[in-house]
Amino acid sequence: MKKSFPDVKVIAESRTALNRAAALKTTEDWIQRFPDLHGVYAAYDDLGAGVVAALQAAKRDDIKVSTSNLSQTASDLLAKGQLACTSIQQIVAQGRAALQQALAAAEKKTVKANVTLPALLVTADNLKSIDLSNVTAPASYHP
Amino acid sequence: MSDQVCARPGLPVLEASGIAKAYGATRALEEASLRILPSRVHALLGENGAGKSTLVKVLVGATTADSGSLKLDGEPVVFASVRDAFAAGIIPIYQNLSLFPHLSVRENLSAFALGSSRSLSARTALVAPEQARQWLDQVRLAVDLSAPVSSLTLGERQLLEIARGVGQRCRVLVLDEPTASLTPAETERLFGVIRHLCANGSAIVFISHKLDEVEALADDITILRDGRTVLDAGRVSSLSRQEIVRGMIGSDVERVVMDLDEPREIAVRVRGLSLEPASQVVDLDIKAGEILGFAGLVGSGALELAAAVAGARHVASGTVAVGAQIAPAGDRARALEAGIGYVPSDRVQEGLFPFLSATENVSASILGRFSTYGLVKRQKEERLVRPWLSRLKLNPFRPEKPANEFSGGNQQKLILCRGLSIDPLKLLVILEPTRGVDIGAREMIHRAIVEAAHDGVAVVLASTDLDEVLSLSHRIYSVRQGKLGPAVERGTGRDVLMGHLTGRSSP
Amino acid sequence: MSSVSAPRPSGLGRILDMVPFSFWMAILFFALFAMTVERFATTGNLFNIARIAAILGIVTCGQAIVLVLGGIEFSFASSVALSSVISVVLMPHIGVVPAFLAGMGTCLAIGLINATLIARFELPAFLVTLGTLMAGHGLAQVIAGGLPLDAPASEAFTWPARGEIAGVPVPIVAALLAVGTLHVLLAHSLIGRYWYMTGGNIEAARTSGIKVRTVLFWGYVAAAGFCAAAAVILTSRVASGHPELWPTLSFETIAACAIGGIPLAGGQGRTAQVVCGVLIIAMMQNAECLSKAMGARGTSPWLVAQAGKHGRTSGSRGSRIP
Repeated sequence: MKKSFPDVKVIAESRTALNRAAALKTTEDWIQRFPDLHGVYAAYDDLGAGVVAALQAAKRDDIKVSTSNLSQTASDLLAKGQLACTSIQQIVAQGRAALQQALAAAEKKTVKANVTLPALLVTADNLKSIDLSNVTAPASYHP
Repeated sequence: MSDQVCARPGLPVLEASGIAKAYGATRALEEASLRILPSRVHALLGENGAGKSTLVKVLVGATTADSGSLKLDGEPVVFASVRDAFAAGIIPIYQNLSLFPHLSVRENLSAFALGSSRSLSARTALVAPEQARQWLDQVRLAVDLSAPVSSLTLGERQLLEIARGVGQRCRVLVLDEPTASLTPAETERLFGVIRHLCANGSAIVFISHKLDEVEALADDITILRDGRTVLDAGRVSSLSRQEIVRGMIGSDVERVVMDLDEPREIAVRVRGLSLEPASQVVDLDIKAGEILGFAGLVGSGALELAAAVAGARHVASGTVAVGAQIAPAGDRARALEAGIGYVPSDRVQEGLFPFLSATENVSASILGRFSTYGLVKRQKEERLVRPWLSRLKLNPFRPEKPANEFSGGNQQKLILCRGLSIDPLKLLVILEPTRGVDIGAREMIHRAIVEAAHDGVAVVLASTDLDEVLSLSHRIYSVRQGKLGPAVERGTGRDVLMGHLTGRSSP
Repeated sequence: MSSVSAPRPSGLGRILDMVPFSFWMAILFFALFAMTVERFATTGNLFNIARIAAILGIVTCGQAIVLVLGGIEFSFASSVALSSVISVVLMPHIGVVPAFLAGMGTCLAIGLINATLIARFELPAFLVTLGTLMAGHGLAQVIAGGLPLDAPASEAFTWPARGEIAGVPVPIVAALLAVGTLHVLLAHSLIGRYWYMTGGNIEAARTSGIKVRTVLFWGYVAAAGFCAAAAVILTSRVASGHPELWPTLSFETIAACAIGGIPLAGGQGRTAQVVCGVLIIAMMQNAECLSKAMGARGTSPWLVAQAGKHGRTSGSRGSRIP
């Protein structure tokens, strides 16, 4: 991130806020501590929801929030404009690629050392239109 | 009077002079001295709060004095810890025995050796069987070395602990209230052991409230009062009982021969009381103003029976009718509603609320009388409780102090007041009213019991102290092995009662 | 003891006697943090502390009752979680207020289960409340389907957490009410006195004729009542039905009581100790978050050591009932 966005400084990190309530509290405290805070990234959307709740209570809609995962929670927040963006990993594609690699190993064919499948960026704009075929399982799938 | 002539007195083995010790603002000892001569039995007497325990703590190294001196064989000595005193041969045996119930006799005897042993193997650190047997012989204890201590009786355990001390080459053995829970037979046995040890050179110091025993066993007496030694190493043979008592409490106790009133009409009917499904079924009638005694030796079941009448233990069957109210036996709450008060035998385990104040301890059974709408009115509580506290002369008269800061005798007064303050009080069941209580408090408690009877309360008095039961009761039931025996009238001789209790009729 | 005893405390001495040791610790911590942690003493931050302290404080009132009784309550964490899940699940169907009432009912139901098992069946509180903790947690997970449920946003829903009464945030008002209620219960009520007696020496309570089972029962129910109130505020604050709402809540209440000076053995405890213990914990958590020195590594071991040392000394001061 330093290379692409040198003006953005990471001023605090929390590794101990693990649920929504804790994320809420941490955000509350950070708002106090950092008057010039512009954005918060939360590792997954439950935390993100907590961050959003704290910001809403403090009426700080100038601070942007982004997170990862695209559960219902994140979709709702995106749609309501409370979340700037989220990312989602191509879970199905990852599974498919992993299975292919496993088959190749079982059949003693060549196995790739790295398989790269980039995460998809989801924003309010492309929420409706994004192709989720590589992300969510088809409706007819049962484990 | 000790009929065993011990060695002639010479240099004191242990001598304390001018000991002073304060805990914060409380001066436990002001000017205490004690001269212990070898081969003699030395009794330490004093009321609760006189400073006996503190003095003993100084002697055995559990605490250091603020001022004064301690001399061992004439040389000044300072015990930095209990270990030091141990090494010097001063061994304490407390009322709460420090034995390991699940370990064997031999392992317990080896406890000190094991504690300081360097070897990793427990087996080599254990005391050799012959050595262990020799120690047990010194205290006349014949038990299997491999038996677990839990299988020994209380008297045997006490002797075992003494044997352990003997093995440590004890020069001064300190016994704290050693006969409190012993049967008369065990007490005799203990006295025999004490005299034997004394003849072998040890000095014995024992603390007791039982003046009969002191007169029978001790050679010398030291009396403490208010932290000072009033009499040091006086010969028992030259002191009268009255002088001893006067030394302890500072004045003569009026040996009031309690005059009991005539009992009135029947107030309490116990029917069909049976502790276990297969045990004896008991029917009793108790009159208002009557003091009914349940006498029994330790473990006879006298206490359990009385507790059952008050509803304080489970029963197989039975009812207690107080006037028109009938309560099932074994239900303490219902018994209280019927007007039955209860003073348990073990005040620490079953009676006292240690952190609550004296007032709050006394009011425990009558809370309903000073609460309205679920809220407690403290002023009314104090008004109701205070008269009882001053009647029984609570000392120090600080009703707001937590109960665990009072001496044993005063704590007992609190539990007694709890029963007495019930209104209307129809029946008061009292177990062991003066166990571990000093002379002054004992008199006061006895007087309070008689006055309650005078006021029309029916009283059941269960005690292992036969003199107490004999002096206070109108009628006495003897209890043996859980069964109620024949009743004897007031004025019956001690021997006759003893005969009933032991199952042997007097010659 | 000899008749020479300590002189009666003077006016100042009496005040000193009434204030628990943890009060001085709280003052000390406050001064320490105000000086070393930037922005600690700002109004905004103090409000943050108060908000967290409020919810923790309400539940700790319940824990204090149980501790005085000589018991322990581990199930608060899943009580509030289950309550939030049930509230949020029901809200679209029956409306905000009934849903919150249902949530409170859930907490009370769990409290009733605990009370019955402990008082009537005489099972140990330690095991019973651990059991309900795990069962409640599982139930919350099942009902929520494994993921947190978002609540529909509404003014009524967010009022318990963000609303104000006469300018004071609702959680703080609720906390003051809870503390006031606890004080009346412990210091002035008949049931409170019975709680102290049962916790101080249960055998002595029995021989005094007290219906010990009833006393125990109502103690656990009362604790559940406090929990119910806190659950509503917490659900509103986080705006979701969350099976992992506050997993460490039970332990934090026990820690708050211990730091405040309430011994876990029973028979002792005062409202002032609850307040001080909760404030100390809230301040510590807040300072840890704010302070650069303790950043992302989690609760500083130094702070934990301070709390532990102080907790031990508080406990030894014989502070029983007010």
